[in-house]
Amino acid sequence: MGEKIKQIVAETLNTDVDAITDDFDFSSCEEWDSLAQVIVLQRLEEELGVTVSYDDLIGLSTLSDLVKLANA
Amino acid sequence: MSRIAVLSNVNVSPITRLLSRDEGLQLWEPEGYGDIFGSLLNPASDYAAFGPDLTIVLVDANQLFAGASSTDEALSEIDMFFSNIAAAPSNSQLFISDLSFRNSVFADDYQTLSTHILADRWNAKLLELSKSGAGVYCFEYAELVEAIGKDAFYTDKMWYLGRIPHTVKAQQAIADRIRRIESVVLQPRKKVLFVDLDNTLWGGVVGELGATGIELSDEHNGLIYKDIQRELLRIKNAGVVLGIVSKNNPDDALEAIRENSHMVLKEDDFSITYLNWERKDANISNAAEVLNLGMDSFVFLDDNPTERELVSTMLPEVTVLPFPDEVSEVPSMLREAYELYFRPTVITREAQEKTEQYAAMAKSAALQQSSSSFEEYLSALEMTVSLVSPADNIDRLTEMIAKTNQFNLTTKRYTRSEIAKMIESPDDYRVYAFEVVDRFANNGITSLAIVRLSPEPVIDEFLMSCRVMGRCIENYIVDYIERDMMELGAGTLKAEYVPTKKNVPVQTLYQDLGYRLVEQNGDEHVFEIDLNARPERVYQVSEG
Repeated sequence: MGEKIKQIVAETLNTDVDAITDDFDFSSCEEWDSLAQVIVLQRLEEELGVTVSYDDLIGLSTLSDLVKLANA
Repeated sequence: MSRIAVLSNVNVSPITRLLSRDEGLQLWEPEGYGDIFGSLLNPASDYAAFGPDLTIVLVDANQLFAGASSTDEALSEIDMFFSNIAAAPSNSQLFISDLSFRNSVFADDYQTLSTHILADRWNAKLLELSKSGAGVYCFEYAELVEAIGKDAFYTDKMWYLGRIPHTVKAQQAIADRIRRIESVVLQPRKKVLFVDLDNTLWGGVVGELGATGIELSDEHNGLIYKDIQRELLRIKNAGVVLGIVSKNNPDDALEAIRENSHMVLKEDDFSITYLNWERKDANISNAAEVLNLGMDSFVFLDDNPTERELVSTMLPEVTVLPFPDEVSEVPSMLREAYELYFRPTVITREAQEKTEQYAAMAKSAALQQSSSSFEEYLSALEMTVSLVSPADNIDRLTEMIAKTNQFNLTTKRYTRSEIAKMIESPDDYRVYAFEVVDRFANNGITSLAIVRLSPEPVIDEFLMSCRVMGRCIENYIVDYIERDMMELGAGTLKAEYVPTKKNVPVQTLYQDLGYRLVEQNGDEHVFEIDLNARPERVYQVSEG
């Protein structure tokens, strides 16, 4: 699950998957705009069957928070 | 780098973001969505400044009719949409989606019927505009919805969250369709399709079963082969030359083609026929020589894997089509091949007549053999070369610039809008387009030259269709340009040449015409001639 999420985030931010570490910081990433957030939300839901709320998603700080949120 | 603009009345940003990751594509969409005509109609818009080669207009039907309360009101929305499209001053090729409805539109008792009526009007308007030659085409959107299924194509959740109607799956399908359009519109097309006969055009072996015993009918397997022929006819009608390459006794094969009443393809549909026991790669090489085409212009269809293997090994640049084990899958494979390799960007008059021209060329090649000298051959061709208006033939010029590989001095792939700009700037550019008529055929517009005037005149691009190569027409055309430049007061004329893998036939063209090399930066060569010391050049051309 964690790997698949990293891959989705990397593709959405158009970056290498190696750059998306567990402590990757969303708030310091310029590409993490509202469109990127919506795309990640949609892909989590449609590809992994994971529903997260938009409000939770925009409040995230690191990648491991996102993985926790998806597993919750 | 292809420049693609995507306009929509809903949020399609996930699709543009997906595509912008592709190398070789540059994507543009307006700030915020919903703004189709703000971009298209305003000559000072960011859209106009971007100058796309290709514009994709994705129209969401439910959003389009959101303000209409009856079918009549919705119909006038459609009329307004298309009168706006017709008024758009665009040099870009427009691909407009056909209509698909996410939900019913009005709360009336005729819901499904209303949507049919609206889709019919939309399609009729789109077709009318396409036929007018305005550079408008259909983006086959409804077909994608159908293939994926409405429930898997649309998402209510994302619609309410961000006005995004499409699921991830739909976004990928739309992005793929846009990539395919880009490759069709902006990449060179294949020119010749060679087909085998037995178990390819019909079932069974004609040498054993006879002209009426082969499998070809309106039933079962016979219908599959008939449909294969229908798909091949469609490819031929798109301006592709059909050829036969088959190991067969010519009498048996021709009898089947002439006598079997189920043949969709007639003898005349094939411009080149190799019915012999030679190796197929040798036959195709021979055709390449006769037609003066590069190997990458050829496509090969054969049910026999050994033949396919032989051709793809010996002639790696030839495209060998896959032949599914299940023959019922062949017609759909051919439809896919049509899209990938043959579908013309713009079906011009020239493309439609091309088959006849190649047939005529095969005849004049025969004449060349019987002429006692080359000059006699040229004079027997009775050629007339006429200057035609580039502005009136911009589709054809765009097609030539995209397709011509061999006689192409700089291979600059100018887009339609770039060519239009040059034509509109006579102080900066001279664009010469020539039509060539001979005693066998009107070869159409087959040569194009562009001269850049400032700071000094340079032949920026010079190309000629292979249909008329090898006839010394280039001598006439360069003479013509030089005389025109002298009238403008020029004392010298420069000419650029950039070698490619394909343009070997013109590698010494400018030297042969009396130009000398004055500059070389990497691959870029610049030649020059003193216009007051031009050599005498031989040609057999009447001025049109």
